[in-house]
Amino acid sequence: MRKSCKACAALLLMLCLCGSWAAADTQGLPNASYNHVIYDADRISWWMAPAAFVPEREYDFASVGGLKSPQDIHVAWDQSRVYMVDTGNNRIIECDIDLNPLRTLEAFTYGGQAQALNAPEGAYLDRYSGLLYVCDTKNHRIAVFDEDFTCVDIYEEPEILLSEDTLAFEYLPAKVLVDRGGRMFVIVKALNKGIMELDEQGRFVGYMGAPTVSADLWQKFLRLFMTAEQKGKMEKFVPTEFDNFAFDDAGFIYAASSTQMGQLMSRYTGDIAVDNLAPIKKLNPKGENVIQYDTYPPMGDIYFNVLTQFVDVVYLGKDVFCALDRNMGRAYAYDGDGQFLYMFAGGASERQSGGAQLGTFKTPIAIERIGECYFILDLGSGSVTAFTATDYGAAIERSANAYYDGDYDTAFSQWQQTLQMNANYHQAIEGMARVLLRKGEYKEALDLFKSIDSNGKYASEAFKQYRKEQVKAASGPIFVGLVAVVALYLCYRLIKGYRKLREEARAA
Amino acid sequence: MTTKQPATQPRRMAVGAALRGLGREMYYALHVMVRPFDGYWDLKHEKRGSLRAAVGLLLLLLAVRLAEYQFSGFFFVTQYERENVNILREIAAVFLPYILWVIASWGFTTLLDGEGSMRDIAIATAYAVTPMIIVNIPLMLVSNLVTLEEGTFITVLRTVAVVWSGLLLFVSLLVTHQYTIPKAIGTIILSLLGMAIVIFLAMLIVSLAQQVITFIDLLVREAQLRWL
Repeated sequence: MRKSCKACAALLLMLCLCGSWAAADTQGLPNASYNHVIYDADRISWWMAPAAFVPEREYDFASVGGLKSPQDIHVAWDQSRVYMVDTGNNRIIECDIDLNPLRTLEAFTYGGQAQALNAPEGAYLDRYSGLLYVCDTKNHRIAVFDEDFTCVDIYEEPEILLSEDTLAFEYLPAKVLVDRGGRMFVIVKALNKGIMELDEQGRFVGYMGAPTVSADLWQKFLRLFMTAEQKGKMEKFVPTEFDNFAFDDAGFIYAASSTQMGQLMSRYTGDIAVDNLAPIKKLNPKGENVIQYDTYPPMGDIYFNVLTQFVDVVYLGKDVFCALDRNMGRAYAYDGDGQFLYMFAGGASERQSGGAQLGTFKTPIAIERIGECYFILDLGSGSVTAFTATDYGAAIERSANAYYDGDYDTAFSQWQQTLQMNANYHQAIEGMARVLLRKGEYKEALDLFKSIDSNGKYASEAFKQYRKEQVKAASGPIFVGLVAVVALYLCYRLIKGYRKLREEARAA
Repeated sequence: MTTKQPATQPRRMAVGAALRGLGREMYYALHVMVRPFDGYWDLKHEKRGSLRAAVGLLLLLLAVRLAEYQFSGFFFVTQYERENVNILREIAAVFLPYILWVIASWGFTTLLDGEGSMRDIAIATAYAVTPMIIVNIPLMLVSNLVTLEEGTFITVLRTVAVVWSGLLLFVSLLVTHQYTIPKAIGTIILSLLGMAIVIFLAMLIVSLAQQVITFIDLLVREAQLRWL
């Protein structure tokens, strides 16, 4: 009887949970939002979460005849203009920030000859020179335009590729960034040596961003027995193909690589340097990956069976960035510590039936941010979907930004607010703990870290400082005690010696 | 009443003597740990150890392992691991390799004219785990006072304990069977191979048994559907 009662209660509880599950599942949106925390290689927790960003409207660009397999969307640095790279129609469309088409760039003259773009895949408006760089992909060149879309320069295929026999493939520049000095960083299709770096005159400088292979002890041992030829054949870098990239405010490059994830997944339990395989890299001018993270680098979704493959990354400012997953159409935002903030868009069944409903995609390819809105470009349907922040998403961003600014009181209260909207948002507790750590309240910080089982380097720092405090507090009394013991012992010896002397005197 | 009194008295004394004996035998593990050649010789020839002490040592190792889950520092065991200790798995982790090693080692040393009996091997092997018990207890306590970065020292010292135990095992082969060093190394490799073979056979049997059971189950169901 009692047993059956228990079973009934359990069943009822499960039904309740299922009910709330179904309710929490989509919140009327085409896709579920969730939160995850990676504790360890074999322990990942995830919970349903409120939506952080919701689809608002879709842009189909009907006024210019629609887009045909567009490959990229580029927002000018000052957010004054947006460039749609309409690859299938061989043109670039300049829009205002509400995505109303203004002008198109298709044909132009250069060197007295009529020219046309051929399947361009990338565009970049250089903030220093005001010039528009277009990857004229199928024409194997980068074309540069001024404000009136007059072609001012064309960079053909750089020399090195023709002479180096290992690179006997078509030169197809797909994406370009230009730095302060006019140097170009080019993502070339099918090039697995990283990002190609060209100088301001379009000459080849080198490759960057592909991490070098760091040999472990065993490999070093093996090298002792290798011939020079064998050593030469060993890979010196981890083959890395990049998909898209973006500058941050300080000139670092955030680069997304969709090919890295499989390698990372198969090896992240081992002790190899996982940042070598990070699918999102933050490259310093030397081409080294300097992305920050606690236990694992930002790697998107690892709960579901379909691997995350990041195709694009957008820098939001204050070290926050958001990366777009091609396979599930989800976007994941991370803060400067590499901590996962929120995800939005996508959905589990979108690969089969994507694109039909607002907020789902066939083949998401690029993500941009204008003000408080995300714009995701769908290659398959040729449309752009705008996502606006919910209260939840906005609160998370406010907290992350306040923390970055060093406004710790605001950050703390904002994290608390976020926590009220989603009690399973461990990142809020982690954030509060980090705030307390910065404010020097180590004991409280440590307690918070412990409450969510977070034992990474931040918790370690809190513990270290707490221990220092404890030792400092204890060292006074211990020292006084020691001195007292020594003093008492000396007194004892003194008295004893005095008595002895007196007895000797008396005896004599 | 009067007849019972003298009967219990010697039994109690016997229990006390046995416990004292066990204590002495287990205490001897400390000597084996630091003077392995002398220790293992006496363990076999002077009967300074016993099977019950061997089991006692393994139980101690198990206890230390379980204690580590509960009392290690925050940076070494997460709350999740603390709450999800599988005691059967821990028991298996201690006793299964031990039993496998003893069987495999006995099999090969008998073939390679070793002088030790299975009992000798069982005792010697169990005595070899002493460093893992002795070293890990202070490490467990100290791990509460160190940060993540300083944790490297803990890991290094743990590895030292394991290596120490491995060396003891090696010496036990030398002394118990009167082996030369190359022969001992060869025997270790063969024993490891033997362990792998035993595991392989065990898995094979389980999988075959599963298939047989499935087959019979299918037959029964087929018969039920046809005739019932």
